[in-house]
Amino acid sequence: MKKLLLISTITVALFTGCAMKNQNAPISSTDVAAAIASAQTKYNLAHEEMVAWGKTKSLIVKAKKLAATDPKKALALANEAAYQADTALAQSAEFEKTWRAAVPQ
Amino acid sequence: MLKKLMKITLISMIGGSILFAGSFNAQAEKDRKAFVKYFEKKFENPVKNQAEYFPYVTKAELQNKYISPISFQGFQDGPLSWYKPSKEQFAEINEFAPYEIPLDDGIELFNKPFANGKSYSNCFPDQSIKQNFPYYDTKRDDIVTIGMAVNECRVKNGEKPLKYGKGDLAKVVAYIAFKSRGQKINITIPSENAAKAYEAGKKLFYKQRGYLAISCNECHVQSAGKRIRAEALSPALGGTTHMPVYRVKWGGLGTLQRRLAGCVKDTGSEKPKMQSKPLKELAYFLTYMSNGMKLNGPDTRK
Repeated sequence: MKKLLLISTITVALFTGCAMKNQNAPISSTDVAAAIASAQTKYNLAHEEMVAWGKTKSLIVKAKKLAATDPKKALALANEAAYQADTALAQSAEFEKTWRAAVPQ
Repeated sequence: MLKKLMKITLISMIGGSILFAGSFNAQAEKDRKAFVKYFEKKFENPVKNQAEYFPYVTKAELQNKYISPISFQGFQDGPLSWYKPSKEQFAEINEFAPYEIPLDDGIELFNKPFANGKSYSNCFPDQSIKQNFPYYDTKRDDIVTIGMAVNECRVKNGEKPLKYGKGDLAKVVAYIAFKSRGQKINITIPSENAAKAYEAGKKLFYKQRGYLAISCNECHVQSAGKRIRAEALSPALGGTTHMPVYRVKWGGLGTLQRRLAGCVKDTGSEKPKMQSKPLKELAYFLTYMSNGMKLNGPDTRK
């Protein structure tokens, strides 16, 4: 039993260590560019549907500006923008089903 | 015989077009009637309707601060139509109405000749026209706003168009609004595409959006008659009668579209551009909802 516990603790520690190592690994410019491109595509979709959130575009602009000097921050901003655009589209699809119920009859 | 045949054909054509014109606005008219009924019922007796419409307002406040009953025309004053404190503040502010100076500028701008010697009055010989805006132009298949009409007049006379939303454009529109005071809003839906534009505006009004996931409807229909902190929420019915409006927050005049764009932004959405399709559709829908109401712009709001 003790042996099993020891093995599982070591396994968990190893996995956590790997994850931590990956987190601290340098971010490549390709990763940042891909994240920004993905965010931009998602934003364009939301914008076309007229459901984009107020700050999504500015997040992408900031991410582009920081891509060379602070890739970690740029990646975070691009991911945030992608999340916002995704959520806006999902939320729009959901509200599409319900808005008519609010019209006074 | 031929004359008779022509007469019959002409009569049936006119009759047909009237019938079609009627059918294009059938849904909109149904919506408008239900819209008016909702507001009249809500403000008929706020104390009696407390449980249904005003659960977070105390009975004392409903009795002392709410104006009721409010008739159809009574809604033309927005939040001032139902909330006594706002109405009192408004009366004080309008002792020296802040919109009067920009309105005077508007009169001057309107009469100032363009470089070619003509002026706005050549485009608008009758200035009492705001009740018909925005209208759906079936020829160009688009909604025409009063701001667009002003700028088209300028371009036609070799002048540069003005910036939409505020400034000189709002001042000229204020003068047209002033001359249109007392006229009843008369928005028509003349074609199938106009009906589609109305529906698009309606959807924009009722569909939740932005990171706050709220709709125009939630504040200005469902919550009209309640407060956001110290601010009284205005009913959407009559929301377009007093435009352009001098807002204390802006420190100047702004057009209906400027106000609507601000509202859309407040939901956490991307701010729509002036004269963009969705904004024009929203204005078209909202103005249609106030059909039959008397214009009383320009006016002052907080």
